[in-house]
Amino acid sequence: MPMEIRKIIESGLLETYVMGIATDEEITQVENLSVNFPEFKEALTQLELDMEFLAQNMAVPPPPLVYEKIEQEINEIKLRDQQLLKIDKHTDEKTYKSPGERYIEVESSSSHMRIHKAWRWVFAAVFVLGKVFLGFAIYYYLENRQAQERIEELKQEIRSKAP
Amino acid sequence: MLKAAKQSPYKTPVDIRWIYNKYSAMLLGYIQGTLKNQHHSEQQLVKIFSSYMKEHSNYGAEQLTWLHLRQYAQKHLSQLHLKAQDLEVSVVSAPPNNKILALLDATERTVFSEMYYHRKSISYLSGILNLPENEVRGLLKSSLDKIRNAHGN
Repeated sequence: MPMEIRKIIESGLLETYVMGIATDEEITQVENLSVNFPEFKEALTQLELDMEFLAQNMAVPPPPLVYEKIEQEINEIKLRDQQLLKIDKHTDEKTYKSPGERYIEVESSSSHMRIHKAWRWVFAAVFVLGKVFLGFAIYYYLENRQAQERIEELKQEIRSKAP
Repeated sequence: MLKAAKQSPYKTPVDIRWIYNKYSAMLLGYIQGTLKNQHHSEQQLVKIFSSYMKEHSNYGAEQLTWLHLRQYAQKHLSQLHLKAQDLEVSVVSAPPNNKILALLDATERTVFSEMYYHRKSISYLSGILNLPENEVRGLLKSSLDKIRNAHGN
């Protein structure tokens, strides 16, 4: 074992780490040394086993039905999470449907606008209908003018025949 | 520590019952040592074990070690509002029922218990016990050496 590693092991760093009171810096140091030095990793594993041995020595068997309670608690947590997920999904859908919240108002510098292609059929129909109505309007205008002239002629005829 | 556990290359699916059978008694013993109340400890066992298994459901069985579980419990318990008497540090502590802790002298036992159960830092204990930090560190090491010897190493 390298002298430096032995010194680190003897410094009490491992003990601080397994007790859960190591600083972030010490935790990183232990993690790095464990990866790079098998001797260090072995010493850490051994200390973990010693702590497990101590805990086994101080173990208190839980009363019956505790496992059932744990299972129930886990299921409740899962159910709660699923419900929260559903609420989040619902909120997302609502946000999508609400254009005011969905789109950000941006002032465009372009004088042109883009619209959906489906509108071209609407514009074509409006144009054709416009032409048809114009045709009818001209037809009825001429028809009406002809009728007025005919009425005028008939009036003159009646007047001329009158005694 | 969590970072190291997440990076582990191997992964065996976790059987909650198996983990429970392996660690529940150790965990209850640990919680009871911290809270000193049987009923409250059993309640906390259910809470801690459930949330631990839920939060680490993507971990492999090899990653769910006693050290990992105990440190999780330690953090959880340190967030509880413990009674003032549970947080007091006293050098004159009664000899414990446990034969391994009985191997430690009073100061070692105090240092060990305060760190193990209540997550007290070396600097904090140094101030409370009026001892240099190196001495507190030495007391922790000597107490763990005694535990190690009791384990036969």
